[in-house]
Amino acid sequence: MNMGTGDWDLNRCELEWSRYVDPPSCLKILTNGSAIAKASVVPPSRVIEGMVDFWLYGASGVSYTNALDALFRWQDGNNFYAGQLFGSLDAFTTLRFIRYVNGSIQWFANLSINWGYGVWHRCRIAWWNDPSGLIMRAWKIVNETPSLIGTVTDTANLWNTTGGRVGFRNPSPNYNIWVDLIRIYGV
Amino acid sequence: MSAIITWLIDRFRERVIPKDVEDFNRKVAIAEWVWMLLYGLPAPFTKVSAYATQSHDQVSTESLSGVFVRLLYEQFSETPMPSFVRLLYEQFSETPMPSFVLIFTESW
Repeated sequence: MNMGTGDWDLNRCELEWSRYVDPPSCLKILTNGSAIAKASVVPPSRVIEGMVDFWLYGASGVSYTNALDALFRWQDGNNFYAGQLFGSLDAFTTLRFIRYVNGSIQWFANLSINWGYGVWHRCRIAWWNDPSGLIMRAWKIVNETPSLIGTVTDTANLWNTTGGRVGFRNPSPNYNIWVDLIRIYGV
Repeated sequence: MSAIITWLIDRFRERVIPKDVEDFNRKVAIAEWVWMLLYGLPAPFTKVSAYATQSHDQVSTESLSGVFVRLLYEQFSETPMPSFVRLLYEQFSETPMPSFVLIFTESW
């Protein structure tokens, strides 16, 4: 059991003991909170191309207009890429990749999902350099079997030689979100 | 692994185009060389390469190298590899993710 919460820069996060995929707890990211892996533990240069695999839980009865940003190539709060999840009253309905540059957002295609609240969902997001740009791809994993959600490409492919940090952010000012069993891969 | 090779061969049988065999084999040779450097063992995809050289009577509108890369991306894209060589590793190796390395786990 890795309880290395010191390996993250945590902001407005709590351990949630009553809910988890893997005992004894999971990470509850409070409104406007974030959990970003420490650069010393997950050096950005090792995840120039990478993959993050995690479990996600949304509370029943909450309409998540902004649920979770799975951050990668994070430079600072105004410069990063993310896989962004949001939903309706009953379920997460959309995953889309976004890019922030100097605080300006660029949205890429919306990818449809239908993940009900009140249960855990396992998601995988990967990004890598390609001659066409930065390829960003997402899957849902059920019983260890990934199913492709979709792929987008950013021709700008920022920070493609330096990489950036990996983590999570709850952009919602109103609702909490839960994550567990996070795995970060690099190339 | 043998099932993957069989599946690929069947696809090649449908779509191989002669003029691209040389390019394909060059890429396979590079992949085999990198594989040897990393693992010190012969690469396991020589069979596909050998088949490709014998497929001159097959006709397709797509290039073999393009078909090969696309097949790997589209059909075997469950674990993404960012380059041709890495795709070969992922799909032809029984070693999981030899180049996409798990570097951090947190279960809280």
